[in-house]
Amino acid sequence: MTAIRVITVDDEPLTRERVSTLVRETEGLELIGEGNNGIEALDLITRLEPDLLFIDVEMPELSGFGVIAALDEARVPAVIFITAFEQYALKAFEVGAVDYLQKPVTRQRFAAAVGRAKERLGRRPPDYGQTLVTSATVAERARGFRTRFVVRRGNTHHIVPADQVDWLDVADNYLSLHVGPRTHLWRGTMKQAEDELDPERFVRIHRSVIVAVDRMLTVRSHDSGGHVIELKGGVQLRSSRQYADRVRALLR
Amino acid sequence: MTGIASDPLRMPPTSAERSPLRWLRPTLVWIAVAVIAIGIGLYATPPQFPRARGAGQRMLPRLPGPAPNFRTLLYLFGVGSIVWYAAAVALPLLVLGARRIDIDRYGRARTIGLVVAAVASLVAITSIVDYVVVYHGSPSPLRPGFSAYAPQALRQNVLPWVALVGLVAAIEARRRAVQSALDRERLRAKVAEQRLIALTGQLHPHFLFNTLQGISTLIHRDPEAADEMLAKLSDLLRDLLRHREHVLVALADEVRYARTYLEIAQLRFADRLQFQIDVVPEAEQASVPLFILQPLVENALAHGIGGRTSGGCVRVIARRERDRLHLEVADDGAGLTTSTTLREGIGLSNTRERLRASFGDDHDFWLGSGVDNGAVARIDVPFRIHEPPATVQ
Repeated sequence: MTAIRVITVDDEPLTRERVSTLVRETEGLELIGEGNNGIEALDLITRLEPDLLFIDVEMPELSGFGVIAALDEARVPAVIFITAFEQYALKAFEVGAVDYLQKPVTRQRFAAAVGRAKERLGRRPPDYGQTLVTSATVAERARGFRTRFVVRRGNTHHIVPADQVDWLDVADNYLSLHVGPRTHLWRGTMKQAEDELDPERFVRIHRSVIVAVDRMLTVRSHDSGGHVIELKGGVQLRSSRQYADRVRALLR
Repeated sequence: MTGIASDPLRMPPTSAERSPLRWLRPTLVWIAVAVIAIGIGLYATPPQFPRARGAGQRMLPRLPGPAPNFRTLLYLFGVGSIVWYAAAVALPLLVLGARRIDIDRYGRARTIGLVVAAVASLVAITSIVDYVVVYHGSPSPLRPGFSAYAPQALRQNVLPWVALVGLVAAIEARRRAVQSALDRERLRAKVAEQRLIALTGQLHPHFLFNTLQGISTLIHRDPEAADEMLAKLSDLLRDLLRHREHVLVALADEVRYARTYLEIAQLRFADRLQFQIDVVPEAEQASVPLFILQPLVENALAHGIGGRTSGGCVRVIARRERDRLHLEVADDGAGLTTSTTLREGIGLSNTRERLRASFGDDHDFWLGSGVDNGAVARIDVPFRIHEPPATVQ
């Protein structure tokens, strides 16, 4: 039987050290990578395609949930969350993780979690990846409004802070994030972006356009019942009549 | 700017709704009662009074003879009770007046003078009204001069007014006692709340459990280092427990707590964290709200170090400038963005509130971007030497 290939991710070096040591000491597990943060985790997972992932929930920039939510559904490993505080542990079960480990991690508890992981890897339900990604997205949403987007170019992942985005529009199966002169492609839907972004700071003005409120320069009414919105930097966007109420709400 | 219509704000009652006008109604009612009663009384005046029987003799209404009749009673309830109607009309004014008199500000002598003057003028006014009403329409030979009438009127009117003013004063004294007990209770609740805010802000579970994990890891690799980390965590917990009864502490205690906290963080983050504590000894004696530094240090740590993977530096500065104390916590992280500012809102409003509780408006709290990068939090408060509480250590 081939070894289960494992990646460990935690921004606390001492936590990662302990978990990695336990992985190395456990027969049937092979440590193939260690990550210091969410972005490193995404790069490692995409590149190495591990079977099992130990990942801290609360990390700066990109949380453990955020990492899972950004994964390709077809290539999601079995996940064991590591948490400092119980409030996230309960969420971890909701996202369909194999198990969770509370800090400090003990050998006994670690062994039990690995046992569950082996079992899960043996008979994996076909929609496992989809369930995990979807529920991680929900769990991440519960932690607050979206403050960043993770975009992927090849095997590397980048963070685009939400407050740098001027406006978003639909591009096939992706959304274009317009940041100054640059455009990033983010895998997500209009509905998702609208739900996850802070409505105080982003407003949907069209079926396929969302605008950052503080980037708006002028708003003009249009004969069609919609508006023409000019952004700082000169971009002009049309809002449709269907969303006119939301634009008018901004003018009050 | 929001699309959601906000609920109309509920305004607190304005002063016009609360004060003098609300007393007007009973006053008007009593004036009406008095006018009607006195009118009827005058109408019903028995012919035998008032009878002027020469100066020095009783001139005010008295029960005439052995058999009081209905007209006599009407007269007594009307004209004979003028002082009581006046009292009823004046009562709200007296209560208002009593409420406004601030003995602490006026001084005892002035307050007594004020009360005596009030009683005297009320007696005088009532006596004049009495005289006018009673002898209204009497033929002048029957009407005594006011000076002849005055001693009698004073005797009749002083007692009711003194009694009334005494009653009002007693009621007001009781109201003030209740009010001050209420104020004390509110203050106590506020202090307790401040303490709770201070304590709950202190040791985040995230910090505690990551530290415990750090110790657990080091036990296997470096028992000496594990010992050190455990000892530091113990110091932190000891400080946390020791100070939980206090609202104000010496800055030295705050700095020690911050130092231990940062040392633990340094062990956790290995080479990713540098810190520098720059506090002049003189400033260490300053009195500051408990755990005022801590949230700022934690913020700096979270956004200066935790926010990045490359690591960074946290700087704590305290100095005295004449009668002011300056505190500063700076990091060299990514600085303030809209999202961090929003997120910090809650923690920092606690800081602001606690500064206000200790120093009133005489404080300054500022959060901004550093000179080169990172964020800076600055606090400026009056410098007061910390007096250790008199309780047993």
